[in-house]
Amino acid sequence: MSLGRTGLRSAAIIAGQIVLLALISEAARRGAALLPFPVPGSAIGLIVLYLLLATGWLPLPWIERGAALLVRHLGLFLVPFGVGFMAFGDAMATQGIALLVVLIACTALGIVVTGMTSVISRHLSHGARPSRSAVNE
Amino acid sequence: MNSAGALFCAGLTLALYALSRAINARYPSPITNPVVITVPCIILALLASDIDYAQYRDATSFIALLLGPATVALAVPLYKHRAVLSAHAAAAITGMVCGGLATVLAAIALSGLLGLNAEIARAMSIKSATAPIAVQIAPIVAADASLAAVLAIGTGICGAVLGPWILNACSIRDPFSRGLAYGSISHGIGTVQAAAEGELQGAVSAAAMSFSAVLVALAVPRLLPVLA
Repeated sequence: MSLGRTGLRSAAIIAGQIVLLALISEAARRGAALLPFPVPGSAIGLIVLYLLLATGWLPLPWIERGAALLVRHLGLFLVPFGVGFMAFGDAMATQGIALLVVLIACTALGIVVTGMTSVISRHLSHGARPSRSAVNE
Repeated sequence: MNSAGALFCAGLTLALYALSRAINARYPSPITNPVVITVPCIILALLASDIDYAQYRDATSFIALLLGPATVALAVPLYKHRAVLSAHAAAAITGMVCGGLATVLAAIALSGLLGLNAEIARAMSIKSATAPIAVQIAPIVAADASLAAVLAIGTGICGAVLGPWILNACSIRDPFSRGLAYGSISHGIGTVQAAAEGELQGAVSAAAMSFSAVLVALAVPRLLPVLA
């Protein structure tokens, strides 16, 4: 696999787009620290990037490839955090089963309530049966 | 730890991640998710060697550094699929707020009932945000970031595996509502399942994942002091 001229150019563009996203992330982190209530900087960064795209101030092609690469490998960036779970070995030995029960129950409940309330809301606003009509929207 | 040890940590992480992506491509399933394969393997490797977590974390900090920009980049799927979400804005907001509230309240109530310690309960309350956002809400609510990451990923797997069965059992057939449930509760891994069900489900799920993560990030740090 040789990295030709186009490959190199492509890599440089993606790297530049990632730098741009990193700048937005860092600016949002600092901005978030100034807010009167604590909120994760990355959530603010997500909102800011959305607004930049929605207002057209930042054209999507400027960040699209870098963003796609980062989102595709989000799992990798989480690995260093996930490994820290090794500190909870003792806690899991005593509370692991209870934790699993809570996790499964909350997830199931969340899925049911989200799905149900969405279906009910669509019935109320359309008066139709969305379960059939929505397939080809 | 010497530089050889640091190189070992970084190299092992990248190699295992690449290998587990190949495994996931060959056998696509929520339980072959690259993080699910990579993390336990690294934990076993660290336990077998004399490297502790603090050393591993330092050696791989350059990887974790990209988490911030990657989280910001989650605005892109939301932006791309904004039309599908805003076409049914009332249903989307109702579903995400009610479902999100239900899962947070249930997490706190059940954790108390089953005697989980307070730290685990706090991490549990933010698990319906996608893992990259959950790890960053964690310090705000005095929860452990690693625990929050693992619970969020566990929620993703659980929702992707049980979701189809739960939604069918409740006769929730509307594709929009199914996508919304997958994305807002079981985020990235749920979105893979949603996309497997259909294009609309996948698009709604991807948008709902980012939107509801922001809702959790804004709401839960305010909600927890009131509830706990």
